[in-house]
Amino acid sequence: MSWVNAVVQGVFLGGLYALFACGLSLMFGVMRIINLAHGDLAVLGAFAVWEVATTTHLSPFLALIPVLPVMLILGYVLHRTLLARSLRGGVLTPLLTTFGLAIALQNAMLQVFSPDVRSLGALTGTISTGSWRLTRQVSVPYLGLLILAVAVLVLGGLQLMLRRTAFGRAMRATAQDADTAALVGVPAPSVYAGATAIAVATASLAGAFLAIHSTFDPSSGPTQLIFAFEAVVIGGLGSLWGTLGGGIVLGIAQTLGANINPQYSVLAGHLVFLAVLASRRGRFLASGSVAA
Amino acid sequence: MITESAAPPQWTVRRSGRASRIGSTSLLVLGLALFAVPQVFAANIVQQLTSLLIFLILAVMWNALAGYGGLVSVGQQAYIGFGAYGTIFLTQHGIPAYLAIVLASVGSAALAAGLSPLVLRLRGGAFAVGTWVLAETILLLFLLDKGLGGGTGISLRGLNSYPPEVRRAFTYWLTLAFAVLLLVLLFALLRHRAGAALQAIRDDEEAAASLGVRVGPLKFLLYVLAGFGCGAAGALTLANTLFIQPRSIFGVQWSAYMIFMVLVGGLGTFEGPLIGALLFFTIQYEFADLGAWYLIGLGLVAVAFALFLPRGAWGLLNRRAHIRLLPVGYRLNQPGVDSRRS
Amino acid sequence: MTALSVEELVARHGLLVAVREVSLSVSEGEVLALVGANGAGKTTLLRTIAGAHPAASGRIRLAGRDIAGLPAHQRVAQGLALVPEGRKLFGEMTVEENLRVAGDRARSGRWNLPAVLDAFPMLQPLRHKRASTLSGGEQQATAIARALMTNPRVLLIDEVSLGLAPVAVDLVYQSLAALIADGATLILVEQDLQRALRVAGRVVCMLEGRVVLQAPTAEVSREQVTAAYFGLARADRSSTVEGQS
Repeated sequence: MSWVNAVVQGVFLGGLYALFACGLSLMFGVMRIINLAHGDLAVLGAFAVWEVATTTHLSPFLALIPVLPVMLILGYVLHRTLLARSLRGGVLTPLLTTFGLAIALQNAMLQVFSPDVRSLGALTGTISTGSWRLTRQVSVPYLGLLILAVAVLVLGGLQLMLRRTAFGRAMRATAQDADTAALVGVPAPSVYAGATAIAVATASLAGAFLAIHSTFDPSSGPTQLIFAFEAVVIGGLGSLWGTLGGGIVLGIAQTLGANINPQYSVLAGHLVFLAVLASRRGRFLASGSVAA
Repeated sequence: MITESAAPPQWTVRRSGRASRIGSTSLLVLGLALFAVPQVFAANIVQQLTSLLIFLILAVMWNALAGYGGLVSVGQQAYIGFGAYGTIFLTQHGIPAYLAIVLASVGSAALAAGLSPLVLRLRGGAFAVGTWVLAETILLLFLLDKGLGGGTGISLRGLNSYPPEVRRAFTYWLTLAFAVLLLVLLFALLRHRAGAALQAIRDDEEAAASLGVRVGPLKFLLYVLAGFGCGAAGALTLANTLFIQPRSIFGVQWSAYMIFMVLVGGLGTFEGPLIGALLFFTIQYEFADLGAWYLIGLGLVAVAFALFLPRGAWGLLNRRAHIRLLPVGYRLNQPGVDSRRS
Repeated sequence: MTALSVEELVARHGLLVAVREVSLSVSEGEVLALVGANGAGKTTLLRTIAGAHPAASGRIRLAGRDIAGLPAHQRVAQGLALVPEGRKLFGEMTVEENLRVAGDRARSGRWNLPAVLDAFPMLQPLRHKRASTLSGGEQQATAIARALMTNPRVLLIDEVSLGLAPVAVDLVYQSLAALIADGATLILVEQDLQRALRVAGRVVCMLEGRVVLQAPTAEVSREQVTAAYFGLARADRSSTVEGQS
């Protein structure tokens, strides 16, 4: 593949990573926790879409319509039952809780769905295989473009929500100073639950697109968590649009690596992440707030 | 009218109480007894005990990081794998196997020292995933090295010259030696001034720093110690099983086991990881055949402990008595007052 | 009509008891000045009343209703607002957004964005400025305006003039005067004794977590208050302690 084409494909891959990352970024910005079960929740969403699509013979895109609200509610409930309690325990508890949850979830899916690798690509027709030939070397895949467009829409939507709506204001206030927010009437538990709900829903969306774009199985979660985290760190903790940039840089790193040798693809992404970490930007990683 | 207050009570500070004196003596006796195991028990038991001791090492190391330093690492498998592969590498270059194990462990410590500036700039969840990424990176680098077996794995030839019972006995003794060494190192660290500082860091890093606690060097020390211990655990696992595969020796399930052991045993206590390792070993022995259900159970139990029993099993046993088996804390005693209330 | 009453309230910081069985009450339209040295427990008392700090025991009633079991954000919904010590504005948000956050869930009442900007005209040109870039006086005005946006029955203001230049303090008190003239119910923590006594109808002095003086400002002299402030008069004051019920 030509280098230019590799970069172009990387940009589209970045769109998918940005979609995975925005939920992680939101939860971190508002609650200061990294949800270690984020990737597994995305895979759960993918399985939900699979079930709906295969039983009703609908296109996976239509299957998303019932799945997304369900995942939204699931996220809300997840927070109110488990995560809210863990937040009271200090910094370590949410990490340990979400890690335990990740293990339980992964293996529960393994038990229910078997370790078979699946893909939803076949159910979507030409959109997942077709592409525009721009030049002899460069092509623009329909699906890649769609995913990038969805990522931009979702990020834009979140940004708009944060900036212009009452809920968004409440979220930003709680992210900056939860105690004072409570003193002006903002209920932190509801805000956190809402953020978790949005994070789980966007993760499910990302999971569904992953399933359409390539393959998935019950143990795909951790890999996606890692990519999402790398996208967030490369783009700058706490910045939503930065997450898109970070995702794209990661995507390009991976496709360029793959261009040299398919075995180098994921490694290239890790090395770029470590390089960013080692750089000056890396030194400012301790702080983070939802910079809308 | 002015009330006169009584003269302030005289407080004294002691390092050990009766329980910890009993506890440390028993542990010493137990330690000596453990050295006699290979003479007494069958090879199968020796191998199992070696596994138990390896779990113990891992639990103690993870607890050192998270319980004392507030560092939740999900990437210690980097050093487990590095210790194992380092041993292979050294034996391939003619170094005797048991020496290679020791050198590989030191090598892991050096790796930890080298990587720490990168990874210690992260906090909390970012640190957790960052260490994971580091582990994945090292895994991928080793996967690419055909000389070390690539994806299919590699076996440790250097131990073939020993007859099986001798090999198992030597491996067991080396593991026991490492376990004792690490426990002694950690004990010394906690008894020293640094010990109180470490616990202060765990509880509130900023407050500790504002009191002049040098947070950076202490975390570095813990991270290097954990690198050493986990490297040893990996090398000893290799000696115990003779064959390793990259995806399993560098797998994140090691972190899952460590987290489980420490959470269930008691985070931040000296005795906790010992109990946790014992419990985990027993559970592993009984239930590992259940496959996915076993892991679901592990995950859910870890969540339950994190949320409801943050002090773990040891904390549960300890709630009334405030017993410490080993004299690592400080006791405030007021003459004439029941010294149970600490 | 009692707007707020506190009975035998106890609050702790770990092992330290910061508020020891404090009882006081404020009637509608009254202005109460809460004075005392640093560490006397004034901030802890206000925070405990507002729900930002847990009460170890005691009762808190707002317009007769027991709110001690409610979390802070629900007390705001009941009509209690605290302007915290140090202002605590949402620095990354603009002045207007700070006001809107409070207004989004507010009770109904006369205070909305235009009304609040009217009462604090200095904030009009600052609407779209980020709160972290404001001066001390502007921040204090914003913080009070923000609390007003919730349409509180009772407004608690912690450390009105702390860290502010005298000119800024004057401006803040001008706005407060208008509020008071309107019939607002206030508890003010104020270091400047003179201002406190001038603006308030009653004064409560705290020392080491207890109320050591509670009287209408018309009936006490500054010397009496100062003596209570420093604990000099404790022995003789047992007849005036806990006078109100």
